[in-house]
Amino acid sequence: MAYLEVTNLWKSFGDTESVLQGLGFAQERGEILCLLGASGCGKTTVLQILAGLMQADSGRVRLGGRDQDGIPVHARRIGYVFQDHVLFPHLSVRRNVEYGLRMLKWPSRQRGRRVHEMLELVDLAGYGERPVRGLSGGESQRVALARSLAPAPDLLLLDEPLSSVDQRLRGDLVAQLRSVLETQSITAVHVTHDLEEAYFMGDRVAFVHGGRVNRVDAPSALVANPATVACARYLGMGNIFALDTPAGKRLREWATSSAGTGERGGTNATHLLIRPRTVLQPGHGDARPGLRCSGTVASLRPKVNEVQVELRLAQPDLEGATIRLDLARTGIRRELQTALEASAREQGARPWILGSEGIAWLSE
Amino acid sequence: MNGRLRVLVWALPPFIFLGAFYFLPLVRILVTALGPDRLVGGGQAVLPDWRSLATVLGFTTWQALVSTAASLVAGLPLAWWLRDHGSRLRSVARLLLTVPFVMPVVVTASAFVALAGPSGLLNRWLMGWFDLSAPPIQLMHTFGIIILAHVFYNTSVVVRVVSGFWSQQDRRLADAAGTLGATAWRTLVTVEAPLVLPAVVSSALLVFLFCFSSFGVVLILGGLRFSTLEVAIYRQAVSYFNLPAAAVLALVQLAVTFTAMSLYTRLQRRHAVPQQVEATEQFADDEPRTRGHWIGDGLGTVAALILVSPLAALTVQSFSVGTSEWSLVNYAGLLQGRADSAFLASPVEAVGNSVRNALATMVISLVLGIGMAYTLFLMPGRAGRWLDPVFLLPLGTSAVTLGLGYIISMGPLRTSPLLVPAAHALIASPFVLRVILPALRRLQPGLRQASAVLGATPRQTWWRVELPLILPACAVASVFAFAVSMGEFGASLLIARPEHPTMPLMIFGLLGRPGLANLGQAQAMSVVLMAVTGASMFALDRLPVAIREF
Repeated sequence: MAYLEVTNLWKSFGDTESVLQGLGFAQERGEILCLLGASGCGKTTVLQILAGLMQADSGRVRLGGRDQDGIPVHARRIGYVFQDHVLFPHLSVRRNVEYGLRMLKWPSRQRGRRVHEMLELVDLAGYGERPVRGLSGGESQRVALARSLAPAPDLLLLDEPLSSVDQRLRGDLVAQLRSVLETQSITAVHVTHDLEEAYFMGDRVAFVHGGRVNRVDAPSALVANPATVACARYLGMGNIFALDTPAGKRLREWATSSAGTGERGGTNATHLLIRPRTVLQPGHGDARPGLRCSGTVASLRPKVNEVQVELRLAQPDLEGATIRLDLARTGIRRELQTALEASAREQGARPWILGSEGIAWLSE
Repeated sequence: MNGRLRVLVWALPPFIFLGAFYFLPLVRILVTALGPDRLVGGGQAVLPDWRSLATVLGFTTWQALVSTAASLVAGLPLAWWLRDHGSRLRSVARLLLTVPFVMPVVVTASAFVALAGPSGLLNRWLMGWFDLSAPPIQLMHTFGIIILAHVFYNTSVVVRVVSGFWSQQDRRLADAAGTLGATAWRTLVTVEAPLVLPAVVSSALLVFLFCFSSFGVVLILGGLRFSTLEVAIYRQAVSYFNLPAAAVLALVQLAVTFTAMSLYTRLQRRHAVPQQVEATEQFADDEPRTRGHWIGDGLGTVAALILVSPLAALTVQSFSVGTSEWSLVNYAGLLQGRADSAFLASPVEAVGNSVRNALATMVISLVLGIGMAYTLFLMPGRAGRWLDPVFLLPLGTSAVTLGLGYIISMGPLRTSPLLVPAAHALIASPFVLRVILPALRRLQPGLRQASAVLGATPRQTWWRVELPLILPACAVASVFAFAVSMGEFGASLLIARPEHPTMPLMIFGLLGRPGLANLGQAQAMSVVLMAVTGASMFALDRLPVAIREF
């Protein structure tokens, strides 16, 4: 039995469509799970239900084998780091961190030790007597983290804790947050809409879409194989083609035969994904595996770090379909660049090969 | 505890209090005025006939209209002058102008006696300079002094409401008129005046309402010749003990004030449109100073000084005995109960009573106000919107009417030492509510959740998080309630026991007695009361929470 089991959560507000439609996931002790999804997809609602701040219409939450239904918020032993940190403005940093320990009636000496330990953990030793009003975004985020970790909760919930922090600091904070959670070997649910944050924070990432967990996997596996259309779209992978149209059927055959991906198309696959960052190689008589096509470079748009290429396919079956490709500027080969530029200039169709790892089959 | 139960816990104390100390007295007034049982004290009560009712109502309305017009004449130029922030002089003037409005009515009455009474400062000077044997200024007990006192009070209302609104108008509109060729005067008439008209109307309505309910000023300065509805209620109830007649008058009073109140709130709602203020202030600071500015500043300062001159006269007079020598005799007199005094208590005891009442008022109104604020805060949607004006009702009910209600309805409680603080708390509670509710609404909703997930029960959360955060607002509200109670006159006059007079009652009594010693003591005590009120106001100004205008 998993440590945290969330089963079939439903929740609606008023008459609108349910925000949660049977959402569920399971989590092992000490694991960090990232709930990734667009804003408004119900991620925060899940956290509020887990903490007991909101009641689900139906569904079950079990933590450590214990059904959480009916346990009031203050008795749940669940930590919560709020999006805007919500530090108590009338208390000093120390008193904020100490708050939960006071509720547990810890003796003063032990409290002092624990607060010191927590502030050291988040790199804020010596900040104890400061008022919280003057803290920077990053500092107050760390105080909030120390505050929720101090009572050693059974589960820690983090609601976009880095969203109100300066973009430049975010990378450092993600690393620090991850290492703090690891040293405390805490079980945590981390909500974010930021792919990068989820990638580096989570042991696993659960992609929430349409009120359910659409896809859950290790971060690298999720990116390698988004598997669902919604997930691929959310990860910003362009070039998604439906396979149930007449053109789509030809696309399926073409992809299967020329890329040699055979079975991978499976019967479930409803869409084909052609990755924008796939390798593009011009040339004849090349035996390397890959998606072979003939096409014209319709436009070349240079960006800061990449060149965006719009390729209009020209072979008989796929006349007129366009694929958008983002090629990293660094590492782009000179002859490739020349070929691209020539093709763009001449508007003539040339043969191209898209790397075979550049395509993926998706289901709804 | 579920949501509904929480609302109930908060709502119960204010509901019980309002029921017992507001609605019950009003219902008893209604029953006494209209019910079949109009026999009081064994005799047939004499109800006021239509003619005398019309006379009182006519005079009340007339003096209120004249006072309103006069206050507008005095206040609008000042409001124009103070519409820009900026100069230090103007902020001092603005502070000076709020002083009269917060002064207790007996202090104002004393101040006018000190300035223009038979042995007042002006008469003393004139008699000295021109060697006269009789005081040349005979203003006491005239229509004029009533109007002057009302102007003294209400000019600050006009200035505050109108200049506040004016300063929020976009100054670039006037600049635009200027670039289109309008002179300053044309701009004022064609652009600025029409824009501030709603504020002028609301301030006029407010002043009318205050003057219509005027009691202390008319009773003390007007003497027996003049009687507003409020004074008539008091005389019927206290002098003739004709409670049914007083009740009928109270009903008329209630009807008029509630009509004016609802008109005022409707106007307020329609015109309370906040605009960008910052830009305006920026512009004002950069303006080059012209000769017009200097003249405006000069005239404005003189006007503000004239307005506070009665208070200055009061202070001067309190330190003098008879003709002109400076002395502390009047203050010394306060410390020793005078043997020949007709009062049942000494001045020191009166100070003690007032302070005790004020402290009790603070506690009661704080409990009430916090209860009301939480009720409105937690009560969702329609019910809350409906309750809000109910909690503000005491604001529209005159103190004398309340006092009358207590006389009629309180039975054995009439002698309770808590009755006066209860009345004061009722009068103060709408203000307390108006200070605490915004503070409560400003609390970040996440704080309660953060506290709960850290293991705090709702009660612990309230004690450790919410209360400390609304404490500054509570402090402001308490100072306010304290000041209201210290200065309250109308209700106290009807319900306070003669052996427990408050400071205003003592001042009223002393003013009504012959002899310079009594007058001197009244003035000394007025200065003490003025100092307490002034200090409270200063404290309010320094406290970090802004009081919302009502």
